[in-house]
Amino acid sequence: MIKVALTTHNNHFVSLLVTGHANAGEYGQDIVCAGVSLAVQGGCNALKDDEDGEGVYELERREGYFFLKAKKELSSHDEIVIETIIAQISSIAEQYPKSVKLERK
Amino acid sequence: MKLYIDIQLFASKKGVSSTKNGRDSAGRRLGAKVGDGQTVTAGSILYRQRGTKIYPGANTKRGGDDSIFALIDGVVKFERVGKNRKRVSVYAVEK
Repeated sequence: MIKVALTTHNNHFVSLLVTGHANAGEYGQDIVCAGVSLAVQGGCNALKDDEDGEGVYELERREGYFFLKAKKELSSHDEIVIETIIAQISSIAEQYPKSVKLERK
Repeated sequence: MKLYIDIQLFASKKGVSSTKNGRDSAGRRLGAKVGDGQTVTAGSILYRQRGTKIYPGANTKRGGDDSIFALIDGVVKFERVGKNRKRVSVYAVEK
């Protein structure tokens, strides 16, 4: 199961931790994993705050592990992008409850 | 942010290892090479086998690979021996 832990403070994004395996198919054919992978990584490609290399985000990524943390207050643009990422993950979690679990802290 | 997307980042790689199996030898085409009542010449292979599924009978012999072959020209006969054994014999044809 993929566990998604979203941490916010006063409705502002703090961190996103995604761990585990969807186990919804063989490697290369796991559609649930593909959905979550795209929502998380594809969404991050829309973030703009660190485009000038200011190091707004801390990011760690490896097989079965993804961690994103905001080190400063984000722009409204990036807050909306992250809300979109969460909305997508939430939708997947509703449809595949055995494979994805979203927790808000 | 410009991430390369690993579309299977959260997929399990369990059981994806390559298997060491998947090889097999070609079939050895064992079994009867002639039918009961068939006429054969001396030296003909009658039955290919491993071990003695069928025993050599009259005018036949077991070769090095357990195959049974005819010692004379004649007609092939598959016979029962006891409760669960079989043998193959070759009987000469009266002229």
